[in-house]
Amino acid sequence: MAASKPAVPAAFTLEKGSSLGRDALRRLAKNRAAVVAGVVLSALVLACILVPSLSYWRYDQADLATGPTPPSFQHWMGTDYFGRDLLARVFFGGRISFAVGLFATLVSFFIGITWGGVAGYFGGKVDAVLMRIVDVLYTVPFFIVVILLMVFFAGQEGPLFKGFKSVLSVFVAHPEDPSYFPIFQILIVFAALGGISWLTMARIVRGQVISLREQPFVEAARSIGAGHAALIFRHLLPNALGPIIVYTTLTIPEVMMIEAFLSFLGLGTQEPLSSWGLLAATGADSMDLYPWTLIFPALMLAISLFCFNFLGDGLRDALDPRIRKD
Amino acid sequence: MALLEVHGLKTHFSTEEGNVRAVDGVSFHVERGEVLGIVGESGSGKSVTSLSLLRLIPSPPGRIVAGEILFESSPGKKEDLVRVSEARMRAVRGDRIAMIFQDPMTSLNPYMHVGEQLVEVLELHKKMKRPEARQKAIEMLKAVGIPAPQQRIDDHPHQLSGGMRQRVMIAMALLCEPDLLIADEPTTALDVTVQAQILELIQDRQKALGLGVILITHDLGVIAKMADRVAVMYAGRIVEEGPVDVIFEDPRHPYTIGLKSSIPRLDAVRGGTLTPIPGMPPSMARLPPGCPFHPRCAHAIARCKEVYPDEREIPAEDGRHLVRCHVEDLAAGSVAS
Amino acid sequence: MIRYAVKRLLSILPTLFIVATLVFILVRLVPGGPFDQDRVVPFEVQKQLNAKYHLDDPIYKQYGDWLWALFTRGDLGPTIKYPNRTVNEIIRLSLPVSMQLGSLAMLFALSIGVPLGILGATRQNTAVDTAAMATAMIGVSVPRFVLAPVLILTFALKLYIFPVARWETWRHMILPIICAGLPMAAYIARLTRAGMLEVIRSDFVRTARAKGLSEGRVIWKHALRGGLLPVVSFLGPGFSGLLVGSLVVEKIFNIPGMGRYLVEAAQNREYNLLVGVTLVYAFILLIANTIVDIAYAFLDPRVELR
Repeated sequence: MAASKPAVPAAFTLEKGSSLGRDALRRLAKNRAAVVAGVVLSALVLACILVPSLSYWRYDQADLATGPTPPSFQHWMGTDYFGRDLLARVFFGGRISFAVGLFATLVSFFIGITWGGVAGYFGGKVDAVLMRIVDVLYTVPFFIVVILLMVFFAGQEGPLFKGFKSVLSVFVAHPEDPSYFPIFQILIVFAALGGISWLTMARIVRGQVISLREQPFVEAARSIGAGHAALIFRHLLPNALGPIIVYTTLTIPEVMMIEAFLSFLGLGTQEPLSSWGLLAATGADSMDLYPWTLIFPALMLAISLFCFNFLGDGLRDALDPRIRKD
Repeated sequence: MALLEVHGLKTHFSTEEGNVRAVDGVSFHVERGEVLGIVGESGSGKSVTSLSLLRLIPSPPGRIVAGEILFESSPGKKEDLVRVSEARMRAVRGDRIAMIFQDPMTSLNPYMHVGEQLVEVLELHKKMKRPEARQKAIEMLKAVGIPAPQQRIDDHPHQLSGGMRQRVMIAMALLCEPDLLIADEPTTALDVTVQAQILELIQDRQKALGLGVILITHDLGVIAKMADRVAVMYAGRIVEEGPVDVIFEDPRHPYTIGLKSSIPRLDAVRGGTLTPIPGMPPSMARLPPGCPFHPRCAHAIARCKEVYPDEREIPAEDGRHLVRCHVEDLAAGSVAS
Repeated sequence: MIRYAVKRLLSILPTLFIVATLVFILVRLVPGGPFDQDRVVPFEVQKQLNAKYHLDDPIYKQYGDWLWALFTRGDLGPTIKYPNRTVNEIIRLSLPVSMQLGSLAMLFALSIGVPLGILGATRQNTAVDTAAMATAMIGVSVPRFVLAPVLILTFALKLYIFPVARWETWRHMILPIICAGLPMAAYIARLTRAGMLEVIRSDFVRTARAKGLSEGRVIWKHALRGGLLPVVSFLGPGFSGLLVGSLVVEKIFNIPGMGRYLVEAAQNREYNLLVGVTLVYAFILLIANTIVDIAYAFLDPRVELR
């Protein structure tokens, strides 16, 4: 048998490979609902950034003489009990709500990624201990802890605020000024909400890291001398990004919802940094008399949550190669 | 009259990348008591063909666009399975034509115990009552070689080994004594030692019941052992068909020749090279014009790029040997190996 | 199986203990006692009140006493702002109400969510599916404190079908149950649909069809068991979410349930009541999760019972 190679045929083309990210984006673009949701959401965020600055009325400009009025030509969304323009307040409230959603999610993101990444990467005892803690924390009724936290420690006489003021006194002239309290409150809200939602993120990240850990590219990276931190943060985590992104997108509306709930109980953001939740809660009190004070903030909140959920769903479907919609 | 005759079957899928012509004009037949092997690479359309026979193609993306599938369900009575009603199709499935699949772990319901899955076939098609059906199921488990069937029948699939699960699938398929068994890669997911056992089991049951069998595989060794006749599929079409001896000794299509040559041989020269077929199978959404194999074919002529070859018969001794290729005087041995 | 169940139930106790201790510490760490809230109370009077309620004992003595009372008599102590009512009494009266609301809401959520999800999965990408899922999406995006006023406004005030508040006859129960259960129904619908879709694509469903079973039997007998598993495992945390949501519902509809007392206790610094209610909540959640785990092990034969 002659060991000659068979002639390579002339008309021989290779199929062009495409990266996972590009495939996913293409699939996402085909999902009309997700695209519309994304556009609406972007428009909303843009509006919340621009409108309060450009609007004729300021969000905290009270006019007790006018009092609450239904939507009119002057006030497109009407005014609230203190005569403040509702449109400006609603879009300013949007800034607050989105900020809460974003920053709390960021907190949960960073804690969850580090926790889950370390647990998944090191495995063995480290993993067992870290995940056991997660399991125990999972069973604690967190909303109660948050309520307790907000009521007791986040109050104006509480120790945390005192600490905050002392830190503040380094930077500002009058730290006792009560208008700093809402800022403090919001920071607490970021931390508390982030503190509750990192658990599932940690679990997801750990699962991803475990399944990626055995892959050849990790061995390759290790063989060129990558240390633990580099392996975790530069190699494993970027490849685990898919479900992480999906879960992050779905955490934002969850966090926003919890914040709205806290505001309803009076434990969330405070005036003048009132979020949609607080606006809706105040509006709900006087719903039968001035329904527009409830409707507009509630509508904005619902639309944002709606869009985030659609977007998150679309991302999940786009990144999961198994699910085919057609 | 043949048990099953397929003429010009075309099954297409509408996907993101366009219209995928997974099965594009396939014709073959199976006689009672004979084993037809369908061999081809992944993506050649062999599984889609088998699923089309039972109309199990998921219907939003896929549909049978042309062809007829003539099945002799009772002596002298032929039905076109493409056109019969869904109700009639359901009566045929599992009763007259049965199918076993590649991966028995995922093909059996993990939440039901084995007995339930067996009994339901008998209750459905033979209207048996549960105790009688259970008894018959136990007998069938015994016939396929499962030890202690009275205990095993209440096990869940994950409690059985891979080989035993496949035996259960075979038992499930044969419970109603069908006329035709379609086996889609029945041994691919199993260990090599178990593979031989399962193949022997299929052969044994086939002879005992006089079944017609369509055996789908990518493994030429399986074909050599089991099949009476062979059909070679490439890119959704059958490129060569004939009795198994003839196909192995005198392959006429460059693809078949290539397949045969790419098998490593025990008596090969040490240090010699393996000869794979160069290139890759085409994307089924963008098939090349003319003969789909021409980009990889060392013997392609101009005509191959333009016109799809017709069927041509080559004289053979025991059965018809058909090939679809423009190149007329290709004979075994003229290709460097 | 029974052994597994008992083992799981027993494992609740250590966690419960930890939670109780944590809450106790947390509550006692708070600056300010229950008496320096409303009015300025003369120092002498304050000292006497503190003595009466043992608030001036060293903290570890308070802890020890409380723990002892808890385990020997199940006594959670007296309340401060509700004269002549102990914590146990309040819990005894309000817990059944909350449990009623919670379980009825859960049943409601399941009976609407699961069929909706199955409908969406079996008719994937049709108008029915899109409509069902859009409705579910809305249900998930609207907070309960918005839903409640809307429901009250439409059905109670404008249409006079249901009474506005309180919890007396079955008529009173309808709106609160809907309000508490609807967001959960929406979530269950989405979960069911996803689970069913996953199962419908699987190989063993293909085998069931290949055996000649009708589509209805394929879904009911083969697909459902696997497809509903995600819903079952959701019920644990889901029940917890339901209890959270019921806080809102109880407040708005003025229902005398435990949630309302929780919020009041937090705002009034009622130590014992707070701890008691928290303990009960934690206990309920742990039991709910355990039951769900056991049910899941029962339904999925692949889960090993250890």
